Amino acid sequence: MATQSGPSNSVRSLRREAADELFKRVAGMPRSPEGLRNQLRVLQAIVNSIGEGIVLADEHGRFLLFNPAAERLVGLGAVDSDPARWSEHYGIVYPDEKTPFPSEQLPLFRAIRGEPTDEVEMFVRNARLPEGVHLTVSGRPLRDETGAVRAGGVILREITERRRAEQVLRAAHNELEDRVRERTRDLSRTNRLLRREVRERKRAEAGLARRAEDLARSNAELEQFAYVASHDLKEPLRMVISYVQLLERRYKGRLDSAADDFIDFAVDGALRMQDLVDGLLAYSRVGAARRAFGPVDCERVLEDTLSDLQDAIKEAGASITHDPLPTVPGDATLLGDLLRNLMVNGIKFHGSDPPRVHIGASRRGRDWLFSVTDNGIGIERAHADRIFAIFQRLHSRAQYPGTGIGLAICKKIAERHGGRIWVEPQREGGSSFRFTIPAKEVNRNDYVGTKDHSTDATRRPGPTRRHAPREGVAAR
Amino acid sequence: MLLGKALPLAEEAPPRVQATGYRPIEVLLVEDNPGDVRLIMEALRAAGRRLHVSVANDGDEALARLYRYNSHFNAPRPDLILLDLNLPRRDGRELLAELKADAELKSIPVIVLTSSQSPADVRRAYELNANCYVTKPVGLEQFFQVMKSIQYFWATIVEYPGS
Repeated sequence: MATQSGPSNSVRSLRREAADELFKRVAGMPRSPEGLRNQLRVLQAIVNSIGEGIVLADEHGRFLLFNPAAERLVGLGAVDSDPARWSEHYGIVYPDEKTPFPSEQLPLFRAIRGEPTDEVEMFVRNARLPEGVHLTVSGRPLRDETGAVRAGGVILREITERRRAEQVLRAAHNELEDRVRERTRDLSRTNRLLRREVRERKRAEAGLARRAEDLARSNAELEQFAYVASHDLKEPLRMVISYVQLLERRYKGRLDSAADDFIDFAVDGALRMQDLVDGLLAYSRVGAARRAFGPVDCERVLEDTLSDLQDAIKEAGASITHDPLPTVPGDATLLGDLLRNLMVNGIKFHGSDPPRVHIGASRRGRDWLFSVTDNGIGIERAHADRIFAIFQRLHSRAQYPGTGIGLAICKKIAERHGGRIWVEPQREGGSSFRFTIPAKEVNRNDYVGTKDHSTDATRRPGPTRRHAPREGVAAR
Repeated sequence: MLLGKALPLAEEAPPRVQATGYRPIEVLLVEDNPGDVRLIMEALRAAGRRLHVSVANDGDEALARLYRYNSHFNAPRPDLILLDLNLPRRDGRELLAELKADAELKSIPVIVLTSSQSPADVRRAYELNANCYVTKPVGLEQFFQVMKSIQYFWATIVEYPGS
């Protein structure tokens, strides 16, 4: 049986030489009885005192010598028994501590059969040695002058410590391997989970992208619908307006007063409808506008807007002031519409004092914050969100005319630029409309509803700017 | 209907001597919407200049009149054509293309008079050699004003090739 980890070769051969020497001495005994006795005593003293176990047996298996170390090591002393039952008797098993060690394979058994053995490892456990010990055993046959085997001897050495250390090491090693295996298993499970999560997330993202695309498409379709609807409404509306006005022009005052009233209502309704259709067109045009953003000098935009509003400003006796305005990435026409609508609002909804409107601008992080502040009638906080919905009005037409589209357009323009819009009622009366425009252009594909489906702007039959509504679309 | 009916002329505006002599200016109005036809007539009447307006309701009828097909064998050759773009069957663009490709007819000035404000329509019309492009404005006053301007320009200022 092979040792798993024995002493080095040189140590082993030294030991073997010592054993050989010992056996040679015993075998080659002096002939004088006195000398023999002396020699035996010396030998006995050595044999009794050394730490290694020594056992000798004659060719029949009867024990000749069983030194104290041997007795201590195997727990039991020399008890004559059938050599074929030695293993059973002494409790000898293989180093695995359980497989029975066949007696005929024991080094002593083989020694008296004339067979030398080296460093055979075994485990001994019996009633006297309940813990058991690990031994390494070397055996040698002892021969007489004729070479016939007369006896056999073995040397026993305890290697329990080494075996235990090995076991601990092996256990630690196994545990380490177990832990590595477990950790690997954990990792691969985590890996599997992660992969599934990645798959699911990808699926979710794809679904989201699809939904965003659907939304963008339906938005674009809605805008296109609003555009076409309002555009095609204009044609019959033109007829209605023209003929009602012709009726008014030719027959007003020539029928009875009820007829004049009817004509007035018809004319008023037709003109209001025209405002609505124009507003709707302007609203849908914000989404339809696919011009590339460029740097917009808001100072110039404001200048243009002021000259557009010249008459209205003069008529209302309004005073307009403003901060220095920045240059922002955007669409100059849309930003002009935004400023104009807010300023028209500020001028329109004035109280008893002449309107004062201030346009402010300041940097807020990544955005420019614009404000259009007036001294007008103000807005109740409860209505602050509603006013940005399309067709939403807070006043009767008799008080303040309008369609309720102006602020919806403002909201759409601000959002199209990646900003937002809101209103802050002023404590001292009046209101301050605030909107943000990112100082750097945001990727317009990042938000829904403005995705560019058509790069060919001319595909949409767009009315030219000169017919865009300049007034009458701003309302609260 | 209004086909071929001469409009009563305003008395206070004596006709100027021009290429057509004292003959009123012959206008072919190509317009499918009766409401627009009547409105244009009213506007021209209000403007009070001598124009003789014939009406074709679509492109085919306009061509029939211009080529003097069938019942139109004695249709007058127009001095001026007022053309709507959106017509049933052969539309205004096709008609314009055909007129301007015809050696006989291409000298007749064509005024495109339409409700379309599409830049693409405007460009296309001029590419097809329309002589001018006018959008029908919304609102009676504006419409009458535009028609009065057209009438004034084409009836009193412009010279026509002799027929």
